[in-house]
Amino acid sequence: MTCDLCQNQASIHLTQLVEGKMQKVNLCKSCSDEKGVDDPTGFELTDMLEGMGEETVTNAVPGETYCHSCGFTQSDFKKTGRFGCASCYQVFNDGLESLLEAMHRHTRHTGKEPIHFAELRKEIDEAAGLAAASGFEPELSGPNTEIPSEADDDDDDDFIDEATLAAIAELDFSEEDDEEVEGGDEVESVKENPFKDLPDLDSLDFDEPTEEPAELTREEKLEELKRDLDAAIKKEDYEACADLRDQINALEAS
Amino acid sequence: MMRFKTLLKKPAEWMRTTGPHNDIVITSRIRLARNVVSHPFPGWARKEDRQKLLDEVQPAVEGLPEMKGAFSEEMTTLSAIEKQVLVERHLVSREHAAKGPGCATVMNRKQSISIMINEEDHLRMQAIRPGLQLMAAYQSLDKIDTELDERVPFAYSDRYGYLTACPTNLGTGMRASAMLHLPGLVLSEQINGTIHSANKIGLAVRGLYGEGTEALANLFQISNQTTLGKSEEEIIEKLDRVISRIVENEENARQKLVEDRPTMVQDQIGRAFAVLRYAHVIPSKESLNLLSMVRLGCDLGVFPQEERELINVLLTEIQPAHLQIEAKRKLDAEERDVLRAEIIRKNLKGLTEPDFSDILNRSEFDDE
Repeated sequence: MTCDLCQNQASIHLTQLVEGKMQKVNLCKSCSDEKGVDDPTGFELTDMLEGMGEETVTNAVPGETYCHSCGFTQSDFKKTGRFGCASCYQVFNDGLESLLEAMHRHTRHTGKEPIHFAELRKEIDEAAGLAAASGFEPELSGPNTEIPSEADDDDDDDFIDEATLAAIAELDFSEEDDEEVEGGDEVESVKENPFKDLPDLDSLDFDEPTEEPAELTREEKLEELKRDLDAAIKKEDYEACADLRDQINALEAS
Repeated sequence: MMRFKTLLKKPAEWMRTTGPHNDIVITSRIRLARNVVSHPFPGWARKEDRQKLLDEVQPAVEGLPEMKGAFSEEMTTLSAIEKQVLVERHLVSREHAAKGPGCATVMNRKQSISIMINEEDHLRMQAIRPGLQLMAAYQSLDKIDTELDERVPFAYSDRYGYLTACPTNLGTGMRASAMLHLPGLVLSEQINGTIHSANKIGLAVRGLYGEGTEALANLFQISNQTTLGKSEEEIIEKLDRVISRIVENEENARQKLVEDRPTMVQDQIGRAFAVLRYAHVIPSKESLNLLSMVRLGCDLGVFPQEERELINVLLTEIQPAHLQIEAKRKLDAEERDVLRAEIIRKNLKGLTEPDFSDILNRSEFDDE
């Protein structure tokens, strides 16, 4: 992950919550020092980002689903058969599964994964093992972490229906998808490109684990961590997962 | 950095070396598609976005150990003919050659690895090897992919794998393909059945220059169509099995042709040699198809086997852009046909007279 200001390796990851939407900024040590982000009260994220961000340009007609990262619309997809950016895969996720099923006869990746991804997966698996041993069961079989079953695996059933490619052109994203995208899914799409439509800064959170309030009991705390872990897994935010895993371990050990 | 002139002087490594089943499998190629997080895909990106991505990625690619002394150029710095030369050598795609600012190509000195930046995806990496060596080609490219992964954050989802501009490449982002020379199946009219069977099990069969091109010189590219749900190794193993089967069918078809119709086979090879050896005007298509017959002649013992390398080089060097580089000027179609004939005559001059005794022996042996 590179710094959003200077392209060095980012080591500080800021998250702000505005009207229930999460926006993230990644900075390297020197830029964060320069901007004084370690002092949240004196730090104006909006000032820093001023002039950097650009409005998302989109051809979307009112009410049409579009990617908040790159402005890509579903009619753009119909026209080109290609997406605008990586975030589009989350924005236009509904309807995608059936398309992939027709195209590839499978909908889950089982091949190579990037190194850091493989490492985090290992950590999460270990965390899951520890959590299970401690008596509560995190739902690691959430939609984004499911390990595909080989049940439908058949070497000879891979052939692509002639109609498949035509199906791309006819693919439609149902209207009710719009609401979902306005809600939870959007958080994901904004994550990669935080400089869109920046509202006033209401709160600023560091991505570091926060201290738990002392009045929570150990069980309540575990409960909460478990919920957070589930949410983090669903969002594929493996950095957060690793943090939560550490907290769960620490709590189990206490 | 290697200059274009140096690149031109040397034929690619795969042309000069051999690999398993090289009589029928000319090359094995692996292509991986990768994108970088937080950048729009090239087809949707604005010019500035593409340039930004290029500035970030090109140094990372040039810094790979494999790319020491590599050829690395932005496509806009190359002339139309130079770009076409790269296409004719299968080092860049036709689509990439047509691209504007912000697109570049980096390739190693052996011309066995080429990396296109801002093609349909941010990175299109290719490894090419002689003969049937898909797994070896994959392993060399996998190493480069892993090295790049440490320098550039790739767009990846646990669910869908490597995220690509087109969902048809999603998952592994891998296209494995082999270029097959199948004159036996063409002459015995079994080729349509072969293509149909390959299609039925999810493999694509295309002509010499990929999608939508005609099957010239009896050359066919066969590749996987699906990229999601199977591992790279599984995809390659399956393709490898199918190609081995096609190679077997081609060998059987050749054997049967020699046994059943030896005169026809001799006539095709002899005629091809005669025309190529003495023609003064020859169009591209005709020469490719005749060179295919001479290559078959090498495989059947009519010409020495080692002359296959000469045919491999000629198949590339007689193409329009290569001819114009040779002539150092733009040539119209008629001028190209003359120069092409001249180059072929010159190169085949050293070839020994065709010797058909092997074919006759094989057919007579069968008669007994």
